[in-house]
Amino acid sequence: MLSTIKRSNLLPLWLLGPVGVLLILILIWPILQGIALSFYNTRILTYSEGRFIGLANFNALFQDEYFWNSLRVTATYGIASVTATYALGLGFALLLNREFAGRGVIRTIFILPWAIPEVVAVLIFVWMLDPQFGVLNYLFTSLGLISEPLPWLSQSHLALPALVALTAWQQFPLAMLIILAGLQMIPREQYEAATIDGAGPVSRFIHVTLPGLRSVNIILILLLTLNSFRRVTMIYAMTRGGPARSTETLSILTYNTAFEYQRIGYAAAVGTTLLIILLFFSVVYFWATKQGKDA
Amino acid sequence: MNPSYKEKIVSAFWFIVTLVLAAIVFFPYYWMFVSSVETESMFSWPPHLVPSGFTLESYWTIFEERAIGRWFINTVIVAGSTSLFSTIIAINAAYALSRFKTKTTSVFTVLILFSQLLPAALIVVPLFVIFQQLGLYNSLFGLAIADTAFILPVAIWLLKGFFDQIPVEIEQQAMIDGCTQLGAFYRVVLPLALPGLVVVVAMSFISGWDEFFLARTLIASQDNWVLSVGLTSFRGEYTLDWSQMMAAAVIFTIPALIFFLFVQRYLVAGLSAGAVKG
Repeated sequence: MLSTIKRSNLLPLWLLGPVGVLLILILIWPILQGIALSFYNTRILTYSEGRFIGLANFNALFQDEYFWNSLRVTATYGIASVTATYALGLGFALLLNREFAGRGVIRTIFILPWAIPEVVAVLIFVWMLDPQFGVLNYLFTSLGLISEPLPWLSQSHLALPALVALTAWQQFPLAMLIILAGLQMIPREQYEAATIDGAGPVSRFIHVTLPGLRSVNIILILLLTLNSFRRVTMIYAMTRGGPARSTETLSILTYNTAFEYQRIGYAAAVGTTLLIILLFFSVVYFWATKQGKDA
Repeated sequence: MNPSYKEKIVSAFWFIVTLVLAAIVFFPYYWMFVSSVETESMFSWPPHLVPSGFTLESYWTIFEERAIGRWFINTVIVAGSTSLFSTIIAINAAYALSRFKTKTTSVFTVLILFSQLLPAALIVVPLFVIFQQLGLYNSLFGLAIADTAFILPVAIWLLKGFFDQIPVEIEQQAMIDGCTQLGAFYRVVLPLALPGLVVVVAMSFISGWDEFFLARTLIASQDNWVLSVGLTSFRGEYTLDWSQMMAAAVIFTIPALIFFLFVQRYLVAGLSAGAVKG
């Protein structure tokens, strides 16, 4: 272990002080205020001027169809985007795990979506999905995938799939890199031994690759899930939760309730519910990380 | 002879599959660029997959007719400050977490991990008021402070990984030679962790550059907008010219992309090490 040091114990405190101040001021204190606000009825952003109403916001929340809709959207978006992101990440990681000329360049191309600013990714997709002049409508109709150009972002049953596609395109590199690192930790001998035992590629994938990726998979999928619950920029910039609330996740519902409808206490209650869900998944995440480390 | 021939066919097959997929993954980038330099109207059908001509007119127009130059400067200020603040703060914090094992460091470890998973959507509601009370609302400095807080946990964690790899004996030797502990850190450890520093500088710059959500919430006046907010504001317009929009998108993307490609290798290594080792 690192030898712990001499001198005053105050040094770490001095070194860490600025971090503490910033994180408490910008992240922790607002969260605590947000939780407090959820017990108030206020349209003004200072809860000292609101009225304490106990759990009334939460009672109203559980009878609010928009809240249940948002919960459904969060779950659907979470499951679909995590599945798509993971599948692309795994597929590309397996492709890149082979030896071939120009692997470095190809890997960089596969990482590029991750390097683009999220709002730019959104703008490109909105343009490509344009109902009249969008190139994807052109390609999809030419290939016979759809019979006529579709108004992707103005129809509630098409907006969510479009959002999932954008998410998967932008986020798969993260999954790919993590899986790739996991693949490289699987000892070569295991594959050789399996081959000697007569295992084909599919069987090697099922009996060597997948078990080898187990701990990486659990952590990655939880991380992607947490990110999907917290995601704001991409969804807000693309649809603002619309059309007809079809992409309104809990994060977006919190923001819209506060800044569009000025129902601050109610928004805080939505946000606090989201926080509780996140904390639950985070506990599982840390537990899984710890398991992965001990294994 | 036969099995190696078969192997070659198989590798060639996968190589072609990889190339095709790379082209599909790259297509949105390609389309952004092509749309920005296309000579023919965007409102023509069918779209030209290969541009029918090349012009930089959209780039000139976007600079002449929009406040985009001003937003560009604002974005540079915010991203630069975010990078500066996060790097200075993260250096000291990461060193403390890497070299000390005290009650203080374990409290901060929990604080840093915990703050990483909080939902931004809930944070910004009270933060909006806190920033107004502190006079940080609608200020580029305030935005940079907020961006710094959001990227700090990642920056610290990444940098700690780099410090952990430098043997503690090196600074102990420097201390025997008469350095103070901080002196040994700044003069001996820090230069050795230079790749890590570069990564943190670049990564925090990129995050400040790309950031949209905080900027959308904490900046009110158009003069103080950053590119991410300015660009998305064009979308609501009735006569939106997509070729100008894509030109602006290219301008916005290039600095982030350069920084990214510059540190890609280290970033990837740091990230995967963090994720796999936990």
